Amino acid sequence: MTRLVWRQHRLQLLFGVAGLIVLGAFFLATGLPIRDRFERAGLPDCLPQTIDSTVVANLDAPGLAGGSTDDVGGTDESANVDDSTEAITRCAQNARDFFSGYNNVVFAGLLLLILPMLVGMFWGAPLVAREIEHGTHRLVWTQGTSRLRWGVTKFGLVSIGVLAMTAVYAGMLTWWITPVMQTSGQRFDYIFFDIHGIVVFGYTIFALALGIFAGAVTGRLLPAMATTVVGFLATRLVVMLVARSHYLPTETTRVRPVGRASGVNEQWNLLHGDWIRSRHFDVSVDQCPAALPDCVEVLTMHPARHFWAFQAIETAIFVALAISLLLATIYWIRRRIA
Amino acid sequence: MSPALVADGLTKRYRRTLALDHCSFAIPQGAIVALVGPNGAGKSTLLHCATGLIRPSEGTLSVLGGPPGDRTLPRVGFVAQDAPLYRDFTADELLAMCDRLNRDFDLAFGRERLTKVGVPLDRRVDRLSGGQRAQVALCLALAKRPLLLLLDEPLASLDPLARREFLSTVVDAVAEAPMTVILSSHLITDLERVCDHLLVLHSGHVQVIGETDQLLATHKMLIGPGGPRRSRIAGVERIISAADAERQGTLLVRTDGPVVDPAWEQHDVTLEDLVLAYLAAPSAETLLVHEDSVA
Repeated sequence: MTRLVWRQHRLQLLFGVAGLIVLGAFFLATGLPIRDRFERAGLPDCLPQTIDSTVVANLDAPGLAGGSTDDVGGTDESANVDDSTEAITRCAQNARDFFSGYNNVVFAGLLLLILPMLVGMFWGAPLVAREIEHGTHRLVWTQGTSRLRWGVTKFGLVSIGVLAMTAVYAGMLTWWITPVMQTSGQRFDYIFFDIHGIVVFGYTIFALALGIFAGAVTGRLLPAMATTVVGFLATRLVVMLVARSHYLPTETTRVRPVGRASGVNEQWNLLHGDWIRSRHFDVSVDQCPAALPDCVEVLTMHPARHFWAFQAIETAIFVALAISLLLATIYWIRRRIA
Repeated sequence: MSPALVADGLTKRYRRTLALDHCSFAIPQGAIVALVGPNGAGKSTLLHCATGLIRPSEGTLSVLGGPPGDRTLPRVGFVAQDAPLYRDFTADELLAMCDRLNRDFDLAFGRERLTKVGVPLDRRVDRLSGGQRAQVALCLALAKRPLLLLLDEPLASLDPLARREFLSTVVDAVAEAPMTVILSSHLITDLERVCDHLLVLHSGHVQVIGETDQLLATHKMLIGPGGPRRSRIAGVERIISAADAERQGTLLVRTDGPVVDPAWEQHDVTLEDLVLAYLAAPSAETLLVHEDSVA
């Protein structure tokens, strides 16, 4: 059975490896300059502390950091930003500049979002559909090996192959995307959350299982591919837009953004990568520059430290869906198909 | 000796149609059965039921004494319609595949037989002729050393020479190791030379089942007076079909004794006549001729 699976899928494996090599070349060619710029900006050294600090000074804010005087705030300590705050502020500024140069990553990211779907279309959908289209299921399912064993071995081995390729892909991608992601402060954003980490394994195995299931039920390749596309996109969108924000309860943080002893306008450090769900001021905004004592910004968010919990929950959802689909397929090929 | 195949009220219903309608029959071990009927008669459905690819809607089918499926498949050789094979495999790769999928596969036998019929083992299936492909598919089934061999329309796409070669491979194999064979076709003439049993299906019903010799002995063609028949003809059990011209009637009848009526001239029938007569009269009762065939 193992040899049969190898014999039938070695060509697909070859295409998969070729695809990985092409992707690897792309990642290497674009990733090296990114890394280079990242290092020249001094970001590898300063980013860790900067990301850890709670707030950063906002140099863009009007009338601050040595700008116009602030009568209401402290007087003698003004324009006296200490060294570490300054270093952090500069690092944050560098990070912002660095990231703004890589907005086009978004386009590459969109392509990477649909990669798992391609696995479902070209590996999953033909798996059973082509057997039925060519009638060869009547050959292979009438041998002395049960359909149960055929299904378990075939789906198992193909899944292992796909997961191994996903691991290579995810490793390359992580290397490539880390500089851009660290400077973005948008780790929870779909463009980053959905293309790296362990969710990629969940999406890929789900797409594969969906393709296999659609192929078994429709028994025809093209409808199976179409079903895979629609089913994959619909499931991903629903989970992303509806379910994801409810995985864990949000937390609330209160930030006093204005004034402070230094007279520097400070703001919540977005480089953490927190997922800010909503933000508002305790009092109306136009009063805030006056640095009223009760002028506090309230942030409702999923904190950055929940990132891997979110990834784990999302992965679990897709792995569970994939397992259900594979079990349904095995049930189907044992009971329903002629 | 228990029968190789026993159907009891076997019924397969698709959404709207009845592919098999309460079929009951038995096929004795060692029989070579011609399964004949027009397209859509239920031949493929019956064979698929026997492999376990299709589950009956009602009734039961027993294959080699057990339910069709995983446990009986190691002893059942099956060649589906159009002899499906993996087209990018060579014949040798297919043999190796079946060798690994079956515990008692006779690899040497398969190779030897394919070489004997002139199929190059190292050529991909999509470069083989239709006749060669059919031989490969048959060989894969035979090398399983089956007790029951099921061939679904094996001759349909073959030219006359390839048909002859295919059938002689079947006959050789049966001579070598005893097995029950069911070959389906919509033409009896294809199978006449090799089969010793006949099973006629029409619209999901069993029209005739029996040994060919006995069927031929108990069916006669009668030529005699035309017009309406008033009385029963002595020795005729049942009129299967009748073609009446004004002055002369031609009947195909099933006899239950010698026909001695001088008004009727009697002739022997061919299997083809017999099949056509039963197919033309779909209401004819099932005839069970072989004593073993009644389970």
